[in-house]
Amino acid sequence: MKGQQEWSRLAWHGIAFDVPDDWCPGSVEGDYANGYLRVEDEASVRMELRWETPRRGAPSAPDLVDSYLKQTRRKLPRGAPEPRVDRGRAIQELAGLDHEAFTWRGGFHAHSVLLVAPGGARVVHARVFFEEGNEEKALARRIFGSLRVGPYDGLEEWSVFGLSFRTPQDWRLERSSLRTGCLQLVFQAGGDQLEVARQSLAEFTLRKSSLAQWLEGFFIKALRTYRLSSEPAEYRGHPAARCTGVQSLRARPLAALRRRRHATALAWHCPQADKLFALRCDSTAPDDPRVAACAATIVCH
Amino acid sequence: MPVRNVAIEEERTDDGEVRLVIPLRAPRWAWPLSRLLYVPKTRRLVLDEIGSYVWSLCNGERSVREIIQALSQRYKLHRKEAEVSVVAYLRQLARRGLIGIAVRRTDATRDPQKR
Repeated sequence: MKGQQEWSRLAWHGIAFDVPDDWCPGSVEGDYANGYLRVEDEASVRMELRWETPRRGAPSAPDLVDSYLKQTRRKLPRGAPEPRVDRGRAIQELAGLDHEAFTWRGGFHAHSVLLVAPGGARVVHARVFFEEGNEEKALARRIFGSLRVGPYDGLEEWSVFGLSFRTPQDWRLERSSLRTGCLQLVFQAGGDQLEVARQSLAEFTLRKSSLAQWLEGFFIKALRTYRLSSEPAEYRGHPAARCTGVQSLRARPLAALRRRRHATALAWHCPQADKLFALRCDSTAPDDPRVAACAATIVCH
Repeated sequence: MPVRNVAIEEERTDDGEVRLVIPLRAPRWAWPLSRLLYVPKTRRLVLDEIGSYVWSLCNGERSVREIIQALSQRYKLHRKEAEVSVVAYLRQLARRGLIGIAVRRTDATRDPQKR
């Protein structure tokens, strides 16, 4: 492992860990209960993370490792040499949590840790791949030591491509779009919706429109049925725009029969990072305070 | 290493963006027609600010990786963000014949028999 390596946080569905700065997500699948995340560097796949929710309470970590090894051995081609497995290791930072670390040297080489989240809610299996002769034990130990499975204090951690924030644990990711220069994550809780977005090339974008115009345009699909009012503001010393509105009865006449829905949106421009951060909430509360609460957790520069 | 097509002329617009003047070759069947009608000999393509910057880096000396690094530093982009957009953009330029990809000579490519 390189001594002066920089690290960054990666968190998805409340499962968080540190990775070297040049590693980033290559593929994400699934939802809160079951899913998969692949982490790559410039050249190859470096890490895989799988999580699942056991149907009938989670077995212990050693039992899960037994079952994983059995399955992996079964997949080996006929005549393949017997893999070398070093088991029964513990990660100091995960003390108090049901986990087992082990190393597999066979068709592929990987350091692994299998962790049962407190309460047995989710089982997380992280694998860090290495090439023969370059075991990178310290690197794997650092990654596994930083592994946290939320929620913590009722909040789930999210961190992807440098966009880091926390959401209340009842918000579940509905959909996400990790496009070049634009990250969008939409969460749902009951009938309410929260969207967190980050756009790169902020200066370039703001040459064509004001921040308030950009905010309304960015969320135009979600906000088109609202009567909106925007105002410039300041957020954490950055230029910002705030936008609130109530559902238009002209656009949605049936909304008169139900409790009116309100939209709250906030965007700010962080010149240091040259990024635009935006949040939108659709709920029955006017000027929903959850927007401000979530915005406060975003690390912008 | 991406290298610009030498047949293409480039101009700068007032905004500092690059305007490419791409020569058009009319097909043979269109020659008689071109005596009667106006057939343009060139096509102009204006690149936006970021496209112009990437174009300026395609000088046959910088590798794709170096271009990605330069773009991510200048526009504060994540390495992966820059990588995806630069690769897609260069592929588009190459498909239109505006750039080619040069391969750096190594000892192995210079004399394959020595391998």
